[in-house]
Amino acid sequence: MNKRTPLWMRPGTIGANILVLAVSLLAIFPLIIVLVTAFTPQDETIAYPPELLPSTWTLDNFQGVFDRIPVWSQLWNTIQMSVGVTAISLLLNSMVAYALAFIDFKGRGLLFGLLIATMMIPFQSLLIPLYKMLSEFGWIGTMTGLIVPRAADVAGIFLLRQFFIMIPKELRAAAMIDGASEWKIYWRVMMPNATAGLLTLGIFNFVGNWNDMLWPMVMTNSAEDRTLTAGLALLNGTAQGVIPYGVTMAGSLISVLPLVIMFAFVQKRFIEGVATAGLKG
Amino acid sequence: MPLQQQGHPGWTPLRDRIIVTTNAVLDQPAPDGAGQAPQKRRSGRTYNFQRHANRTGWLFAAPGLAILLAFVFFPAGYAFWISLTDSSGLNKPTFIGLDNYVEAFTDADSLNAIWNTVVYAVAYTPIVIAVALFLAIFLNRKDLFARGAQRTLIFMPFIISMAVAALAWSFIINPNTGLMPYWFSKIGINLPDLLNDATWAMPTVIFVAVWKNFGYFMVIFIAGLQGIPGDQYEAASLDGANAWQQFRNVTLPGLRPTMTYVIIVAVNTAFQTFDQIYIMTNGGPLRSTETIVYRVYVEGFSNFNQGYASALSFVLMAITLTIGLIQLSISRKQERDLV
Amino acid sequence: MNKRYGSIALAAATALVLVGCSGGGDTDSSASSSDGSGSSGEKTDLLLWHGYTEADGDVLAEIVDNFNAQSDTCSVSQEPIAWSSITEKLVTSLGAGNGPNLVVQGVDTGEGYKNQGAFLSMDDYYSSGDYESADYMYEQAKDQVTWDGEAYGVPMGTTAMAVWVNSDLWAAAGLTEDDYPTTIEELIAVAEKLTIDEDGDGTPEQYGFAMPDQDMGVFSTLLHSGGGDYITDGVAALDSDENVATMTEWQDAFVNGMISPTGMDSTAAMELFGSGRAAMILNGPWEITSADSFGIDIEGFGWPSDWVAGVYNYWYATSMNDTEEEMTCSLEFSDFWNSYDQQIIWTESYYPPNRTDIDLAEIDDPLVSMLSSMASTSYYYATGIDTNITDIQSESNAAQQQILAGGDVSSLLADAQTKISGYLDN
Repeated sequence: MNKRTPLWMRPGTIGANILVLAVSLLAIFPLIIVLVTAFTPQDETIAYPPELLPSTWTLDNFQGVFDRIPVWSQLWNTIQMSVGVTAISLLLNSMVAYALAFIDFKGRGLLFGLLIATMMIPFQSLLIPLYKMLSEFGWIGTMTGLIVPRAADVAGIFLLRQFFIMIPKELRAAAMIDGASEWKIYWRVMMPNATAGLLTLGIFNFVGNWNDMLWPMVMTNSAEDRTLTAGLALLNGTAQGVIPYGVTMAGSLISVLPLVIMFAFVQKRFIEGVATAGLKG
Repeated sequence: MPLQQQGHPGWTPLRDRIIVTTNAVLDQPAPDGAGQAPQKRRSGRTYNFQRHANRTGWLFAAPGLAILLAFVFFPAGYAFWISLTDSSGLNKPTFIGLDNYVEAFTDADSLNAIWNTVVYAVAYTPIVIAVALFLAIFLNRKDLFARGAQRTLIFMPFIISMAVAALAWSFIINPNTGLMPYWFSKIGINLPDLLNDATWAMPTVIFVAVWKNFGYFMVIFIAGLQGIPGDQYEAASLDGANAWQQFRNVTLPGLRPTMTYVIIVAVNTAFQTFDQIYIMTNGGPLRSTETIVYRVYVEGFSNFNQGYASALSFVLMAITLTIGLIQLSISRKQERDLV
Repeated sequence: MNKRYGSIALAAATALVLVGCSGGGDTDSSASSSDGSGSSGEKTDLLLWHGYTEADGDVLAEIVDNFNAQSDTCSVSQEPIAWSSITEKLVTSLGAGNGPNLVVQGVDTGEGYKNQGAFLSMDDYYSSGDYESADYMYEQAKDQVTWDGEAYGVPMGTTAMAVWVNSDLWAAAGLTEDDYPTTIEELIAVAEKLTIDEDGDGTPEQYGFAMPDQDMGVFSTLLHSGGGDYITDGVAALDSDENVATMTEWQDAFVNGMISPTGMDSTAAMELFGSGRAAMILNGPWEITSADSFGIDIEGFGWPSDWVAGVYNYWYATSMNDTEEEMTCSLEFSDFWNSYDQQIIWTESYYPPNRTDIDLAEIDDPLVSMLSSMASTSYYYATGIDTNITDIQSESNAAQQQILAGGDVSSLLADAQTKISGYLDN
């Protein structure tokens, strides 16, 4: 499944740089389109012949987004949900992953298998039973309802476990010899060593929850309660009518910007954290 | 594990006993450089340790498991129950046994969906892994200009939602009003109508998925790569290994836990493809991009066939689980071979 | 080292606090309580779901406000939800025992939900004589939602589709109002005249028609206009001789006349028309807003035949109406919606009125009047489909697309007939 690194590609800095640059451009090209279209007046978004840049730049689309959906409430809801889920799930997932990776307890293999299996059931099928249950709790339309069911997730446990098993076992053994309790080992020895994994999972969960549409859409009944991504669906969910590209892209931009900024900051720390962990070997 | 091979201090015989009892069933890297001696001395100490391990293990896992139990396992169990009934989502379900499962394997639409999904997964997985690994290695190079910025850019597609990505790509490749066909026609290439041509729709959808996800896997590979100690490479090159041999004998083995994760997750996500299909092609053209989860959605939400939709999900789970287990046992075997 | 999990711990604590605060203090801000009894004293509260946004949504909201202002017993709150999401939400919420009292749906989904017991009979609206507007509803509007002898919906937004014309392109070809076609043949001829391929490269710069080849509304219109049938009362009649002849004619117009590009759904067609590359489009009143947003001047005429597909959206009362007060309020609201003055207001959304007795002079927009005059020849694209709608749509689209691209008409129609009949019989 891994291609041979072709001999002719192992080369020069220039070649490598060009290649990576090309890939980067391909990666962001659609995002540039989103950016540009957000500032394009509606009647120019679909023109023939198509132009990359509009003749006039406008802020009308953004105004349109603010007119149609309660952006600030939804943004706040999104932040609450993403931060809440990420923080709690990092804790809970890592605890389960720790147990799976380091403690040989009875039933470990079975548990792991069960987790993997449930990861493979599409969420669409779990939605209806889950909704029924949450409806009975009275959690529909509440932040609790949005966060708690997501407070632990199998994919996250799996990821962290894989990172944990890369940590040398001697560390734990040594700590145990020193008389440390399991919790202490977890908190003071393993977690610091798993920074790469934790940061990775943190980013993924944050982004994933920020961008999730189906879950908040089904769990909320009014626009005020929704998250931004779910709220934006209203803009282009019309069965009849042209998708208002300008407004939709402007909305997407508003939704994505915080993530981009966040990642730009975290990216540096992430690399540093990862590098430190690596050098420890 | 590299450390044992170097005779790392802190290696004690006591460790043997501890390791033997904590040795995992699954693909833990086989521990012993100090020999496979399974001296399972059933001393009182080891025995107590096992019980302590059981208690601690479950205690640690408890909070997370509590959430999963309530909000994942329980609905999953209920969904399984539903798959054995004729539930429509709105009626009172009656038990019908395995009828839904039989239909899942005989109905033309679901067979079509299973086939499409398999084709999709078989194409998507190797491509995205290869691209991600390739880039991870490249972006690990010190001689790269603006490495941090490049990494950020390449990760961007992952940060936007699939809905926006699908929308943006549809916009770009629209044959009548899109930029891409227009630019291509200027240089003499007449792009086919990508999303409406039965030959091109699936590759297009796969491309969008690869585009969106390769940053994600690349980041995981980078983290994995950084976890391989630099001295291993030094040792290897001192032994005279060239770049390719280093890749094969140091990088790939060192990446094993990461690779296991990546493969399982890539296959799993491939099999669960829904969003971009729903937005870009609605299963068309000529139903060539209908995937299993798309069928689950249509059956469950549009055809009032919740029982059948549930059965389809479990069929999907069975397929991906089988693949996952095969992958896990292969990697476990590879680990044993290594030592 | 300490700093790192200090911050994790802090984040976790913050999150828990947030959850705690919002979990406790947060109230379900929508009136989706399952018992529906009023939090506003004696009034019965109803929740209404619909998918209208922007201009349409504003008009709807205005009418809802008017209703609330004049009613002592009922209070309606309305929630716009993307059409595609209404499907997901209806099944999940009704299945769990909460959801809206009133919801807007078409005919096929309406029948489906009715069969599942999710939609309740609204026959009292028509038969009891208590509701003034009931006498003025169009016949086919009532018939289309009459199942097992009872009517289950009240008309909400109904309209024919019309042929819209890009005024500039029309005039540039030397055409005037007198050239509006009155038969299908004339229509195709005009479309061919408006298709311009100056450089002869096989791809016209301008198309006579922006016609989607993946649209059941269009497909049914083409077939019915040629004297054939599509799907009526749950029976498919696709492979008749008339249909073969009709589609052969249209295939010729597409392949040889190149009147329209292929591979478009209705959205793509609207985009093509909006980009100024097509002279005509068969569409509903939302084309008026769309063309305006693209800066295109339009005029319109009726589809030159006695059958054209139309949009028929109805108010449906869901199983959430489990008390008599709620049901009565639902019926009262639907009646109010269709009252004379409110229907005049509704035309501001460019939808023609649902009533037969509206004086056309009172409608501001002449395009809307034109649509209104076509109401009696517009029909829902198909009747009797209560399930497998998406799959039927996929098969219909596949057939339509392949035919108009030049495939063998009779075998494609026969194929579609078999597959669609299979779904209908399910």
